[in-house]
Amino acid sequence: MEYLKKILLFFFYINIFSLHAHLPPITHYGGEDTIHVASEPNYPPFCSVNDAGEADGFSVDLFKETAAAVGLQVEFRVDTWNKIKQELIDGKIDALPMVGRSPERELYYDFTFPYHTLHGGVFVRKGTTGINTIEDLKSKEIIVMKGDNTEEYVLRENLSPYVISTKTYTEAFNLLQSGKHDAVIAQRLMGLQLLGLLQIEDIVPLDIDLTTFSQDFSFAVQEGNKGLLAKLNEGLSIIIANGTYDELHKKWFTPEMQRHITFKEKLKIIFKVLIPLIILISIISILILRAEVKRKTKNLNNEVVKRKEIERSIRESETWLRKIIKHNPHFIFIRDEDGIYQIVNEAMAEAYGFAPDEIEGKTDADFIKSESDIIRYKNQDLKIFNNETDRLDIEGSFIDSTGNKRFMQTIKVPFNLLTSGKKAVLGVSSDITNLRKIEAELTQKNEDLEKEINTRINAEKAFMESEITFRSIVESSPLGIHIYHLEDDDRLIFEGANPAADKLIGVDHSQYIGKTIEEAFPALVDTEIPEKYRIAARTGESWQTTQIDYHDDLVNGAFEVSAFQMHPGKVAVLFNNITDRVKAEEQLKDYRDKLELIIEERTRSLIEKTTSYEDSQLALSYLMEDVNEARIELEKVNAQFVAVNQELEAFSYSVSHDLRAPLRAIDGFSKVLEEDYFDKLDENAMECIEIIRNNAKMMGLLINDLLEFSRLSRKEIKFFEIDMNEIITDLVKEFKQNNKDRIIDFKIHDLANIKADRSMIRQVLQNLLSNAIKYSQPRKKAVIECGWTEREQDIVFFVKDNGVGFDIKYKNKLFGVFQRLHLAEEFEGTGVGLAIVQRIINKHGGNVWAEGEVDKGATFYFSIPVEKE
Amino acid sequence: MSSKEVEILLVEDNLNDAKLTMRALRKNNLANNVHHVVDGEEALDFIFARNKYDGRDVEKKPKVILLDLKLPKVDGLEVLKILKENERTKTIPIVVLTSSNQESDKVRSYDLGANSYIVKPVDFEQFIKAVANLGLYWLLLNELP
Repeated sequence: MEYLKKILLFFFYINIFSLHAHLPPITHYGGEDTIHVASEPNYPPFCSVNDAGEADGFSVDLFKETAAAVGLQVEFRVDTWNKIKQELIDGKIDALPMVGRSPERELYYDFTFPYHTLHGGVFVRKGTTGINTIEDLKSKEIIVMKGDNTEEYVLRENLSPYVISTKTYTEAFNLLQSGKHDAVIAQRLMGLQLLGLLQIEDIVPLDIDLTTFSQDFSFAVQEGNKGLLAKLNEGLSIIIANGTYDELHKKWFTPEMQRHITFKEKLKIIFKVLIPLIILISIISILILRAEVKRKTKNLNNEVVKRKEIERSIRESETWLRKIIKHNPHFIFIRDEDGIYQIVNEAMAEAYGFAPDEIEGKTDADFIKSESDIIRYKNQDLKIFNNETDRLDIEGSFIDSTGNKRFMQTIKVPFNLLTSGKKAVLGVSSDITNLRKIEAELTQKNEDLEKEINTRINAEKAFMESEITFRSIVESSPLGIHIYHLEDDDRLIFEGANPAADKLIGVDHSQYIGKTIEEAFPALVDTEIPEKYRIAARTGESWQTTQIDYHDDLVNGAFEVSAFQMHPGKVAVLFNNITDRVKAEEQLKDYRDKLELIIEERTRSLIEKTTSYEDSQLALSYLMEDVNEARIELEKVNAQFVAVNQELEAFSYSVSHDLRAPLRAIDGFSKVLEEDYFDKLDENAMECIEIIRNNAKMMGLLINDLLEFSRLSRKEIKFFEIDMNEIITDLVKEFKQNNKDRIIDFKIHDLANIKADRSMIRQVLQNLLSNAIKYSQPRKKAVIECGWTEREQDIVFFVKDNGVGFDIKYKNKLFGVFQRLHLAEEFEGTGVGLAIVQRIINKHGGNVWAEGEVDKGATFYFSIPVEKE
Repeated sequence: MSSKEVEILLVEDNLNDAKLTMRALRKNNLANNVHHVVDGEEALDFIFARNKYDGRDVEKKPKVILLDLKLPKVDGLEVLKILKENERTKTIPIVVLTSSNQESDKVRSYDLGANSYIVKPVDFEQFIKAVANLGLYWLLLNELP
């Protein structure tokens, strides 16, 4: 530093004097002028670019400080070296912060005193051989930056004919890195910095000292710009003097750069610094070593203490491990590959009826009785020893020393005996006999539980079903249901209701839910009802009442209520709205009262009537008596009549009977005469006999008819519906039968049925038909017609014949008794037939009449009255 | 009494009628074995071999009885009744031969078990025919047990 300082001062003084002589006319300085400066971007650490792209670097900072020290404003620009070099020559810029002094450059620049000296270096790709001296460069391709003083130097010194120049050193290094050319010559420090910046690690500087390439760096101004030059020099001096230079130097130069100090200096440094350093180091080392030894000894002691500790804790572990093993209810054992027990715990030994030390050191064969067990254990162990598995889980059983079967769950794992180096098996068995028992019990309990659960489930299902049934009953019930539950503080809380409930009281129940009964139905507050409900909910005692009249703002009416417990704490209230019924009952009562009044009245009037009735009754009874008397009279008369009738009957009977007998004799014996004495009697006599006989016959007929006639008048007429067709058909058959010798054409129409006395009507038809047949005898062919017509009040039947007819003027005589219109000689007959017909028809309420003409036939009509509905 | 078997028992109080009946039967060659009684009592005596007829063989029953209803002493219906009620005599065919054509008599006769009911006609011819028919039927045609 002192050296530098000296040089700087020297140059300072020189330049002060040359100031005026070389002032160019272009530049004037009078104060706060702005000078334009340019720097290159990539010449670290002297000229670089910061993150903002502005000029930066040691030289730039130095220039700025220098300018500031003398009150100059500076404006920096960044551009390529070649360009800015030329710009200064041209005067486009005012200064350059870093220019290497060279004779060539002296011609167009003016330099401040140098502020830095740089040395050149040869950079090659790592591993390049063959370049040890400057002479070796002669055949190599050297890359330099265009315009840089290294270029000038290389050319000047003619280091090599192969010189390649690039725009920047970045380009140069890149080129070299890519394998092109052989070396780059650049300012050593700058090159190292740049390589660091570019992070190119495979290019290294060689140790060739380019002694002739030593460059001083200064600020440069245009040749002749003395004023600026003087100012710059001044500034430089100031900043050197005030320490700014050192600061900047410290800022920009890393120790690495400091490395390349001159050899001499190096030596000096070495001697000045190194030796004392060495001495120092030695002392320190000794001190350190001593400390180290102390430390190590301390450590060792610590170690020993620790070891002792560990041993103690191990022993402690061993103790309680032993205790664990000893007191463990599980069987714990270690059996080696020879079958010898190394460890057996108390539990296991006891089970076999030995002490542990009686088994330790022995094999299974020495204490286990069961051969099969021994073999089994051996096989299990083998599995472990053969590395087939590193854990066996076994369940088995054995008979212990007391003869009990013990179920054991065993785990066997390999265990390497460190002391003997033998393989062994560590086994732990737990007695699961109880477990088994418990398991069995549990299984049983489980089954029982399952059964119970099933029962419960079924019960639940049944309950659910009954719930559902209950729900549906509740929902569909025509009775209203309100449900309350009883809280612990005795409040009855309305829980719910069925649809019918809402309908019956005319209110939606949702507003009641959660309320107490007093809140929901305030009119119940002073009544016994809530308490009754509570009792029902609590005790199950149900309660009913036939009528509650309830009136509040929402609900009005009369209700029939019953409350019963659904289950403890819950009561269901069933109710029916009987308002209508009550009303009806009241109405009924009204009516009944009214009715009673009416009844009273009626009774009164009835009593009146009764008395008057009784009076009339009395009168009636008198009347009845009279009637009775009359009846008795009538009966008497009737009896007389009946008696007379009977007498008459008997009379006519005997008359007919007795009269006929002699007639028979007359006729009979006349015949005898006829038969027996026909040869003795002449014609007359025979005639007489004939007459006698005929008359006898006649008399007989008369008697019959008389009897018939008289009987008829006494006979009771019986009215039935009679089938006229049947009667007619019958009669027609009979007549046909009896009149085989005659040709009779019966024209019988379909006759209507009438209500009359059958036998009597039969008689009528018989008589009429008989007449018709009789009086049509003269005709070759008798035509007899029988028919009917319907009149308003009666039915008229007719019998028509084509017989001899009659004179119409005698028609009234037709129906008289014994009345005849012909002689007996002409037509036989007694003349009673038609009388009988008339008698009968009259009895029926009808009429008889006839129409006819002499020789033109006759038609006889009779009518039977009919009841028109 | 004839030792010959009585085939017809004629119960008739009117002698004229009886004579005529006999004549009719004779004419038809049926008169041989006719026995005539004039009242009901005698008829019963005959059938039951009593009193006057004590010696008769009661087993010998007539083939038919011609019974008049109007009889002295025991009435015809009475005789009918008795005979038809008696086990031994009820099988004897009885023809009621009477001048009564009263319906009631007819009914009563049939009720009592008369086998036939004939009304004596005034006309003798017819009477003869009736009797003859009777005789023919009951004696010749009808089969008795």
